[in-house]
Parts: sequence; C-alpha cells; structure tokens
Amino acid sequence: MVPLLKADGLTRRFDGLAILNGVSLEVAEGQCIGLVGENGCGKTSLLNVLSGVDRPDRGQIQYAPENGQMADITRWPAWRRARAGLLHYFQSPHIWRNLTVAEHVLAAATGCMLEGSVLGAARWSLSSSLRRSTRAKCEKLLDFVGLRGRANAKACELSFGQMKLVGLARLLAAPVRRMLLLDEPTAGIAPEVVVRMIEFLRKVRASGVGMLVVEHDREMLSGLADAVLELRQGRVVGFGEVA
Amino acid sequence: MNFLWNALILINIYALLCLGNNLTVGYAGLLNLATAASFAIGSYTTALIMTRLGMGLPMAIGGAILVSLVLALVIGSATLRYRRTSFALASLAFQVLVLAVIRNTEVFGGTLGIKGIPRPAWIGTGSGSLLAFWLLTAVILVAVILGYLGLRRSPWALALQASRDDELAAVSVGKNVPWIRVEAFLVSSVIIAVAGGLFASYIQYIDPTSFGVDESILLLLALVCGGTCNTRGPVLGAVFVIALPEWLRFLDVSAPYAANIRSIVFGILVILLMRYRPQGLAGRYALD
Amino acid sequence: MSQLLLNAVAQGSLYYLYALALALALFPLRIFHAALGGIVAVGGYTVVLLANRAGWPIPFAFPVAVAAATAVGIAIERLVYRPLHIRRSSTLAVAISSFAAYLVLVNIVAGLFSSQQAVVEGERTSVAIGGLFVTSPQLLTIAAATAVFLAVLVSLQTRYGQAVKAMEDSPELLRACGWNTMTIRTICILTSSALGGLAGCLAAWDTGIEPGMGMSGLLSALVIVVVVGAGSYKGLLPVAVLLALLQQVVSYQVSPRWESAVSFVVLTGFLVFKPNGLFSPHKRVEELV
Repeated sequence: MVPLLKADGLTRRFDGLAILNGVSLEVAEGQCIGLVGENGCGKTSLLNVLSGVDRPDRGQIQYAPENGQMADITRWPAWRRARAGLLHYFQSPHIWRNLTVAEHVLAAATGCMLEGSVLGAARWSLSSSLRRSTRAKCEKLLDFVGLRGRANAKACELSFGQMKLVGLARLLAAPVRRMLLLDEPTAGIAPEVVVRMIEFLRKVRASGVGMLVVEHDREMLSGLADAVLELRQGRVVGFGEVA
Repeated sequence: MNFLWNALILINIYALLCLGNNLTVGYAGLLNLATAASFAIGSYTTALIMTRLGMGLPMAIGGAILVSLVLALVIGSATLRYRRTSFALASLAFQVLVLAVIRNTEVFGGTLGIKGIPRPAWIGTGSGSLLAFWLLTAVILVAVILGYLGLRRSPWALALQASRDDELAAVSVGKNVPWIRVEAFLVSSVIIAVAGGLFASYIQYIDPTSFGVDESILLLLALVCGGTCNTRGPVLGAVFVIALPEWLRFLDVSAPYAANIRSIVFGILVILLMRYRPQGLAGRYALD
Repeated sequence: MSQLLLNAVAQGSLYYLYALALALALFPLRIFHAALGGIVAVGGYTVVLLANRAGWPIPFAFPVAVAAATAVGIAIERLVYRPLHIRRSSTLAVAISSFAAYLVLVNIVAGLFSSQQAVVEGERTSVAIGGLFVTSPQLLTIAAATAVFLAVLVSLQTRYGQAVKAMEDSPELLRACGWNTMTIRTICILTSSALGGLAGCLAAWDTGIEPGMGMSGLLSALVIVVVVGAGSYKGLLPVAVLLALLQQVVSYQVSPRWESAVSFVVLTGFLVFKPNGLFSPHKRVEELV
C-alpha cells in the first residue's frame, strides 16, 4: 500500500482545552477510512488541521503529491494543499452568495495556477478553446449532481440540499484529486443522489484516490470504507475493520 | 463653457479613480482607504517627471505606473498575508505615511506642492484645448472600461469574488487568496496612478490638501454610492461627486458651503443606500 | 526630559480616551467606528459654543457637551448601525456607513463653525510642580483618564462588564443565556460616545480643535488598539502613554513634522510582525472585523 497521507501526533488546543490530543493516522492510495465518534470528539477539527484550514499546535503532516515523494506539508497553506489534490468537503455549504451555480463550478475547475491569476485572465479571454473545454467539463458536473437546470441561479437562492450539491460539484471540479477529506458528505442530500455519490466515490477510490470520511451513517460507511478510525475527546481510541 | 468642460474632465478622472477602486472594494471586498495616496503617487510622480525631467505626459504616466506598482507591491505583500481587515488598517497606514512623506519632503514641494505642470504640447492652449484634454481622458477611460469588460468574466475575477463571499471555500478550491488580493490592489493602483497623472497635467498645480484621508473616504463613498462590480456604478458615482457641487452652484448656494453640503448629502445618501439598496444606485454587487 | 514625560502622560491620557471609545465599539460590536471622529468633533465644538459664545463656565459646559456627543452617538446607533445589525450586514457595509456618518457630522460641524480652529477661551491655570509646568487642562485630562481606567477595571468585574467581554466571542450564546444584547449594544455605544465627547471637550480646552481632529484622534486610537491586541482593555492606557511618549521623542529628536507619521510606522510594524498585538495571544484585531 502506497502511503498518501500521514499524520503524527497532531495536537490542537483552544483556550486550554485539547480538541486534538496526539492524533496519528495513515491513509494509503485507494484506501477509504471512516472517521467516527460522538459529536465534539474532534472529527471536524482533525479534517480542518489536515486540510490547512487550521494549524496544529504540535505534530506533523506528510503528504505525497502527484509524481512526488512524501513531503512535510505541516506549514503549507490550505490553498497549496488543495492544488496538490488534498481536498476538503465541508459540513456546512460555504457557498459564494453572489455567484451563480455555474460560476461556482467554473471557479473550482480553474483553481490552479495560471488561470487564477490576472495574467491567466488574459489567456482566458484569448483562448476560446480553453473556455469551451472548461465549460463543457462544468456542465457535465452539473448534470451529475442534478443542478443543470439551476445553473444560472445565484447560490443564495438555493435550498440547503442544493447548496450541498454545489459544494459537491465544486469538489468534483478540482483539477487534481488525490486525497479527499469528506465531512458528512451525504447529510442533507436526497437519497437518489446519495446512491450516485457513493457509486462515484467507489470509482474514485478504485482509481487510487485516498479518502477520510466523517460519517454517522454506519451503513453508508460499511459500503465504502476499508477501515474505521474512532475518536473520543481528541484521541484515537480505536482503529479497525468496519463493524 | 469652460466650466462645463472642467466638470466633464473631472468626471472622467474620477470615473477612473472609482473604476480602479472598484476592483479592490467591489470585487475583492476589501476596505481600501489608500485611494487618495495612490492618486497622490500618480500625480506627484507625473508632476516631477514633467517639471524636473522635462519629459512628456506619456513617459510621465509610465513612470507613475511603475512607481505605484512597486509601492503597492511592497505594501500588499507585507500585509496581505493575513486576514482581510489588516488590509484596511494597512491601507490607512499607507495613506497617512505617503502623505506625511509628501508633505514633509522638499522634493515634493512640501505643503506648497508643485506648480507649473504642463499640459501635453499637442493640446495647446487655445479654445479647443479643453475639448482636446477631455478627449484624452475619454480615450483612456474607454480603454479601461474595455479592459474591465474583458476581465469581468475571467477566472481571476471569479476568484476575487469567491474570496470576498467566502474566503474559506475559495482557499479550499485552491485559490491563493492573499496573492490575488495583492494583484487586485496592483491593478487598482495602476489605474488610479494614471488618473493621478491626468489630474496633475490638467490642473497644473498640485498640493497635499487634495490627497488626504478625507479624500480617500469621499472616493470610497462615491464608489459605493454609484455601485460596485460593474462599469456603470463607478462612473455614476464619479458623476455624482463632481456634479453635485455644480448643481448647488446653480441653486445659489455660496461656494464654501457647497463642499460641506455635497459631503452631507453624500453621507446621508450612502447611509440610506447601505440600508435600503446596498447595491448602490447602479451597481451589480450588493454590499451586504 | 521630565517635562517631555509629563506632556506625554497628558497627551497619552487623551489618546487613551479615544482608544477606549473605539475599543468599546470594535471589540464587542465589531464596528469600525469611524463616526467616532464626528462625535468627538461634536463634543469639542459644543463646549466651544457654550463656553465662548454663551459664556458658560467650564464645569457646566463640559457635561452638556458630553451629553450632546452621547446623544449623537445613540442616534447613530439607532439610525445607522442597528438596522444593519438586524439585517446581519457585513462589517464592510457597517464600516462604510460609519464613514458616511463621519462625513455628515464633520461637515455639519465645519459648516456651522466655518472650518476654523477653535479654542475654549478663558483662564487656564498653569501649576508648577517641582520645576515642571502642567496646565489645568492637562491635569483634568490625566485625572479623567485615571478615573476612567479605574472605572473600567471595576466594571470588568461586574456582570455587565463580563457580558460585554462575552460579546466578543459569542453574542448568540449570551442571548441564549437571557441577556438582551441590544441593551448591551446601546450601553457600549453610549459609553463610547461619552468618552469621545469628553475627549473632544478636553482637547478643545487644551490645545484647540478643528473639524478633522476627531479623525486624527481616531487614527491614533486605531494604532493603540492594534498594538494592544483584540479584547484587551487594560493595556490601552499604558500603550497610549507610550505612543504619546514616542511621538514626543521623535518630535524633539528628529523633527516635529514626523510626529504623526510615527504612529503609522508603529502600526505597520505591528501588522507585519506582531498582528496579534501585545496582550492577545489568540485573536487578532483583524479577525474581529
């Protein structure tokens, strides 16, 4: 098993309370690990620290980017981790109020380097083929999550479930995808779409992408995860096969 | 007649200022209090290049663009690493410090400023000269507007708006938020510097009083009043700032009070707009 | 040298009042209270109006001027901040409205007093203490700052004081515990405006005022607040005095022209190297607004 993401002794304190206390884990390519535990045990905080949204007080995170060796990414900013394929899907939608659904996906699809900068803007205006291919990709994604009809609606006009779908489409639009951190991905999403999502996640896992999934639904986990990591009060208390 | 051309020329210059500010305040969602300082950098650099080095307006404005790029890069890179409101504070610091340097250094003429800034030779001094200058400003304004229309739908503009609406999500899709904010500030500064150069050459005499914190505040409010994230809003804001005192003159309000009344009307208008119509009079983005 | 120190203490006391006024709006309410600059001007010019034109003695003019400033502050809270707060507007929208309110206030004042410098006329006694000269306005300023500082220390121990501190973290939680956050907001703005008005009065009596003085006071206040860090009220006075001292030193050693620029060099330094401020390890001022 080729290691993809490794965390050693992650500790995060807030106002004296240890939200994470010496958490270590390892995820390999193509491996899906479920993250379980009661509310407040540190699952979301762990994902935040792994994706760069938050910084650990102590500990180290290592990650193997595409065509690269395991690197120490503890000091990498979150955007750099995202560009290297370490993606985080949030529990709450975090949509961009004033942008349309289509623009959400477009923004995520052009996440990397050149298109994101002002010089890239010039290249974008001049290359109609680039625009066409990116737009086509975005349309396919919107079809997949079932939001094609709402492509031009502003994100603030959507229902909660639709907002979560937009977040999912954003995740799927990322140009580089190697390690997914999913925080309750099925919560708030209609059952038909959940089925398709799990199908898709299985395919993605088979292609070598690693996953760390926070999920309360044990049944869903058993269909997807290879192993389960249990947290309690910021510590790892169990690791093993899916029950 | 001259008075009309004067207003029209100033409208174009202020429209450039508002369009520049639009990127930083509207698209990137930052509170920019350094507009007047960037304006000053453009004006003073142009003035010095034209008066001390004897070069023409195009070279002078080129110099102004370079200087403002360097300074904006320094300020931006040092402080935009952190969160959004460090930008507001840093822009305020930039504003005050730049003005202090200008006011206290002889090369800039201190409190007396720089006089005798020439207009471009081809404009001449005859009866058509104001029309010619207006044409010059109009051409530049149109060029900037075209640039805007080109950039508006680009991924970069989307990234800026994303960083404004939800920074966390923007970062999670790989946007280097600190850096694109620096870029927005850079492009803004360039446009504002060009406006500064045109202003210096038009008015032919500049001093620090036109470039203080109060002017930054007025420009910010003008932009918000007109509206952000499109081209109509900033231009409309500029029209308001310039036209209001002129209308007041018609109403026979005596000159010193005109400036006070303009500001009071503006202030009340902005307060009402923020409360009832946060997209301004003609803007696309509701500041909310 | 000690004269310099004394002047710094007096000036710093005045800065402290500005800084605390700003902090009371910034920390618990997250308002970039630019309008404070206008409230200060209202206080200062009201006391000039009462003392000079109406001939009131200082002990009567001051409280009325402070009351006027407080009334203006409450009006701004009701008319400008509260509607936006109810709509959960962004801090940018609130800041812009605050600047707009500042513009309105300052121009009303400037229009009425024709933008001239104004000073409260009348006797100012100068006391000599051990070779140092201190004027009565300076004494009053130092006394006021000390009194306010002590009042703050005491208030922070009371339930209300703790509620104000709790507003910084979680107003929702406060509300869930039964507190009326609207009342707390009003109290914060009321105190803030009163302090601003007082600062305006003291400045008017000491060296004189002009319409833009509120903004320069506000700028100094911002520097102090950033240096101190988010949420710390006790650190405001020492930092204010230190800033005033630094300005005096620069003024004498380098040149008076750079006096006001010094604070902004300090601000930039802190923004780049120590954005958390001195007394606040977890939060940054930026994270509030």
